Amino acid sequence: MHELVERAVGAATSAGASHVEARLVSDIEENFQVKNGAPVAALQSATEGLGVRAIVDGAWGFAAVQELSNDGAERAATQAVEIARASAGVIKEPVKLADAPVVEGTYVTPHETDPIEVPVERKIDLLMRADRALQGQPDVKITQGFVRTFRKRTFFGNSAGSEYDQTILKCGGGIMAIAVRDGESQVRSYPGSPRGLFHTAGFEHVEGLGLEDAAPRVAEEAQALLSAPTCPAGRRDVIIGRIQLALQIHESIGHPIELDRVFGSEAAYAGTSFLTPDKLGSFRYGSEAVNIVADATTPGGLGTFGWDDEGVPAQCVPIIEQGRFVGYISDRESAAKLGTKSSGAARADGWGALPIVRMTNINILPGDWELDDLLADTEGGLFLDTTRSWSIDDRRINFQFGTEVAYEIEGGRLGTLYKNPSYTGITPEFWGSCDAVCNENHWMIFGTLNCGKGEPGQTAHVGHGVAPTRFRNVQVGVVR
Amino acid sequence: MTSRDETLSLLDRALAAAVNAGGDAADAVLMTRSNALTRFANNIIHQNVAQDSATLYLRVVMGKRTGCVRTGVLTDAGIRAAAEKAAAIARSAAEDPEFPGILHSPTAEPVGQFDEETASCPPARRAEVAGELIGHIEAAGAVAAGSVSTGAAWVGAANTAGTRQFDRRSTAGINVVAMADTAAGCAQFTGSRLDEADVADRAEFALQKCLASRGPAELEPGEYTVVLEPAVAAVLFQYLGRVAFSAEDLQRGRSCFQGKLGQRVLDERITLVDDPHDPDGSPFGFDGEGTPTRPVTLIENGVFRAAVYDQKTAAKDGVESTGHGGVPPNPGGPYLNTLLVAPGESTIDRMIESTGHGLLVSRFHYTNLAERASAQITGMTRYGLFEIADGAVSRPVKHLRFTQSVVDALSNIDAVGCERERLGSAVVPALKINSFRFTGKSDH
Repeated sequence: MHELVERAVGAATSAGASHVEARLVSDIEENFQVKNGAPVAALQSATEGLGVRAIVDGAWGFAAVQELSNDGAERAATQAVEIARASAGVIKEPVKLADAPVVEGTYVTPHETDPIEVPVERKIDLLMRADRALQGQPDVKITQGFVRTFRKRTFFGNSAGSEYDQTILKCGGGIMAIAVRDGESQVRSYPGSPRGLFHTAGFEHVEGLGLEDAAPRVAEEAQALLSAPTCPAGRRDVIIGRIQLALQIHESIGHPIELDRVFGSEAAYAGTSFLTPDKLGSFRYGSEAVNIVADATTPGGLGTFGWDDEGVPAQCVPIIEQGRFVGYISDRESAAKLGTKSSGAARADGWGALPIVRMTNINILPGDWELDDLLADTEGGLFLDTTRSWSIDDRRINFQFGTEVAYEIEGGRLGTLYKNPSYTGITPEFWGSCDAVCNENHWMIFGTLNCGKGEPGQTAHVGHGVAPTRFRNVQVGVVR
Repeated sequence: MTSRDETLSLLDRALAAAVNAGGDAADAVLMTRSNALTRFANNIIHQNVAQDSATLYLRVVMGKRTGCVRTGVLTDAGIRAAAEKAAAIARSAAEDPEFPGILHSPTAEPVGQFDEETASCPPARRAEVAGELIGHIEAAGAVAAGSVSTGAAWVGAANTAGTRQFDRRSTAGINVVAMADTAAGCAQFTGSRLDEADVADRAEFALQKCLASRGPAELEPGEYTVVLEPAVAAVLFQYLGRVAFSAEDLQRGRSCFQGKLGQRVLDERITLVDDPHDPDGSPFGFDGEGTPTRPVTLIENGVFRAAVYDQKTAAKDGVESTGHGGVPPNPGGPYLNTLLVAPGESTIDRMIESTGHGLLVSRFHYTNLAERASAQITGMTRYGLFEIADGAVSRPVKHLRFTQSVVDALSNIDAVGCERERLGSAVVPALKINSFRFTGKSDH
């Protein structure tokens, strides 16, 4: 166990804690951005600190310090115990934790090139070349590109004897063209949503994104959107592309299956969930085509790791089987309330934040369809992709999402381009209308760097494995 | 680093390290924070956290090239390493022809509101407030959730052109939700002193909203006259602020008020000022670039009067920064500080009394921009939606989705409230708006 982690665990235990976890975290992040041919951000952020979470008299306390010293470790431990004691006076029931194995080991994200070690010139050159390739369309007034790289090393230890040394490497990037004319602006981005495509991986992931090659098409589509007709409203069969399906899963499945949310922990902020425990095992979430897992072992996923921030090993948990709701994502506390084991989904936003239930990689399992066959089978439908806006209610029932593009499906191909598309629905009805998922040839891991939850606010990086998927009779556009 | 001398001394060391690392010029910001939050749900405290941190932001300049670092390692060796890393980035970066250089700013008068007791509030005091909120709501048979937060920030900014700034502020917040089945009510407090919060009043407000919203009826989406409580009206102004007033958006042709400077763009009863010195808001003396903040009248009686600038956009237009810059690098351009909406003459009660048929909206939830050009937003109602019939609140109704242009909404004003509420950094009255568009419904 790292010396300071051991000292913090020991100090909190000596002060009366019945359970202690300590995490010493070193985070490095680099962010490079180019806008209209000039660098607008070239930033490295480095932070390290120690967070201690303790149970005293059945209540939690958490404290974190930036000072990595014996004094700092003992101060964090003492403060965590003091905060727990202050909370203990108003608890109704003592905290219970689901059993977890004692673990020990080292995990490093599989990679070829540590993305933090790649020279600055190489990152900026990649962006400058992509930015130049975005130029040339008459109304494309704003071009942007960005690359971000992350390295997070965590030394974990708890009072049960678990300890690990885990290094997670992440990187990705994206480009965007914004066409502006007569006060209207249209955005086209690549390869993910406007926030890019990120993996747990080495820098080879960024160099494989093909930003420069894709740039001319991206700019052309932004230009074309200005002249495109507005997407007509009405009930339509739709094929949701991978980037947008990642958001659809995130908002309408990933959040409602968070067990702490189900039990009300987020009631005053993000909201609750319609997925009450009585629905577990019986509720029809979607059609038989819908199979969803929470898999923290998916290669490249932003939610892929060795152990979570409570020391629970990464695992793959079934969530929806042939449309039936069968599992939540959980941490040790919420799992104990349900009488199950943790799904290994306790994740903290750095050393200064306490672990809460977060998505890992929430993936739809591939179906049987080739994309060409699915397009040919959806004559008169729409193909929607790339997230533009999103909104969903506090119980995750009513959603409305906008996408950058919609195409009329004509003769088995993508035809007329529409601008400003949106679609809306009710979560179980929508997933119940799913009747086709493309196969593994079209399946890929996407995700987001920007999943917000908790107070104080925490941001998590989570993954979504997706393939193009068809839904029948969806409300496109808003009802007038 | 909570004193002016300590803060500026560290910034001086950072600037010297930047020059030693090869920089022609540099600027730096040091932000020291102490934040704590006690969270409760299901009538118990379930999370209780505290964090102290100090972060140095350092930009090293070489001609038109810049490199930035952000570090929490504030030893001499840590600062030296940060400066060398920033210099290495600057050497490798391409030139930014629009970079205006490191500019001198006069020393700003500290205007931040600071209360030592709030800054150093012990966990037992937050637990006491949480206990009072829980007790009030639980006694009525409802379930309480929410948070009590306290904290402070001490911020210094300096650069090699002689700028030297320091200011500080404390913050206190209460967020309380009362729940019964799927009905819920919410109340908030934002301020600089925890002892200014009327804890019982906040608990009672949330409780009454919750109790009144039980057993909601179904209502079909459509266009309704709406009475928007201040927390709801604030959302409209926050989204307008995101798409209308940034000088960068205007320079790129993307503002929803493009080409309309000096023209009537909203109802004449709307006056909107960004005043970072107003004590009703969240005052602070300087921005992330060390520029002194100053008030900007954005909308005056419905007329679009001015944009907000940082140093880069100001140089491009040949004007001075208005003190709306972020800490470098800030690729998003200038943004608003404190939004103050001028009060009107009405009250929520009078707005309801004058409504034949409409809706009283308590909160919006998960609002997002749907179309930029018209500032169209979509989101859900939350924490109590009520039908108004014949001048009185008649019944609770199930939550609805709205999809509405903010510009259209603020042009369809029927009345503006005379009392304002502080919500985050915005200070906003209630509004009555005609023809507000609801486009979907939920199950609760």
